[in-house]
Amino acid sequence: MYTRKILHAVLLSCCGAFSAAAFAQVGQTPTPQQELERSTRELDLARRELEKAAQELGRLSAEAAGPHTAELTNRFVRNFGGFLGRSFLGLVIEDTELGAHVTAVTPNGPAESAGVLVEDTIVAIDGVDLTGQPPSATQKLRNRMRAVEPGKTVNLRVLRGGDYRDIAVAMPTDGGEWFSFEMPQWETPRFEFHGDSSSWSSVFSRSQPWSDFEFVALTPALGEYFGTGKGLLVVRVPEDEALGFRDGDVILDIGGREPQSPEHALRILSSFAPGESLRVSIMRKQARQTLEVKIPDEDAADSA
Amino acid sequence: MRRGLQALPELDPPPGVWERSLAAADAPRPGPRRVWAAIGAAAAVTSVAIGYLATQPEHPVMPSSTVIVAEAANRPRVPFVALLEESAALEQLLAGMPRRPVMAGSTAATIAGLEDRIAFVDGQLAYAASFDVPQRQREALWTERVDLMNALVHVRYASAQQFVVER
Repeated sequence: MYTRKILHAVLLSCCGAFSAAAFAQVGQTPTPQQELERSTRELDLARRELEKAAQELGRLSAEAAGPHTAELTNRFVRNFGGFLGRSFLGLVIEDTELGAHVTAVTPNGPAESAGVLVEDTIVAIDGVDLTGQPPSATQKLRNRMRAVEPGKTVNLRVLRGGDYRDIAVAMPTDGGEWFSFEMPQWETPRFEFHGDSSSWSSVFSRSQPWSDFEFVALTPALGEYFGTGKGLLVVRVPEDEALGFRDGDVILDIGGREPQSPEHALRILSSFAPGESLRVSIMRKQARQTLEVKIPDEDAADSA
Repeated sequence: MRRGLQALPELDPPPGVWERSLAAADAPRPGPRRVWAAIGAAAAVTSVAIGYLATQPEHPVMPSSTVIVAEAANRPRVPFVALLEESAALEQLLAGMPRRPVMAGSTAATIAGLEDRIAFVDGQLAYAASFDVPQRQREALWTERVDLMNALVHVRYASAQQFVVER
């Protein structure tokens, strides 16, 4: 059994080291190029250590919760069918007299993107009052959500600080650019707990080929220089890049799916298994091209 | 140390942060425990950074990844209400953090993986709320959520720091 306290300490010390490297750069007077490169390397190393610790904490946290929640997890997956093809707000709610009280908002979920905050109370959805006669507010909300198709918008009326406000929440298309579509093998849920949580997130384990890339989501103004109004700009590729990308490429779609952010791109890319091939549409020097990309085998990625 | 702090570049607010701040100002005031949790987390990170400035020019000590798997102990059981408050405080910290437009693939993967797992835990919590699930199971899920949110806040914080340096 590992201690998460230690992990939290490691996270904090990593963050401190990261700050240290950052301050070392901004605080110093002009120095030789070698000094700047050394600081940059330290900064990069600190970031990698922090990310490694964060991933480890996530894995161990799932492992620690597993014995208590394994049965619930399996029941959730079996009865709920996961998130695939369903619309989700990305909220944890509980019943109160005033409506469905929000106790947690999923980061980067549809509700968070629309502006729903923890401590809000949802009093109506699409004009349906959640208060009053049974069933409960949370049950009424769930009943309504079952009828909402991906890609549609739901309108919430929330009570915040004594005032009512209306919030339109757009459901991700096709089950989600958010979460669900990243589970191509949902029939055998990878979250099912069998005492080994090492595979709880393929986005960690399959991201190796893309780790040293640097991305930025294209803005319309920036896009004018690249001949496209949207896409994901590849700012930097690693020196040993063998997948066919170059600095300045703009990724338009990956296997038919348009990446909205670097995180989204990694979700899509990580949904392809080692050895699989995919087509990536890019803009290179303002001309559209298609790259045939083969995901490296795990052995090759490890040795890289 | 003063010179180091003065040398920090100005940081423009990220898009939408003022709207979120106004919304937060309209929201019910959090309880004192939540405020202290948020202040504590921010102070802890800040104190580490300032502590480093005070010890310049020594190089930062990199924690060994082996430390991660070297200790054995149990986390003490945290009261249920405290878990909810800590989770909410971390959400508020995360909402106020600047976002860096340029991102390394490894950072993007870490954030995506943590967000996916939080989404899955939230799905279970929503499911648990609608069925009669034992309190111990819910506590375990909330504990996991707090751990994951904490990790996400740290990674976002580091990413924002890099943003400051580059500007």
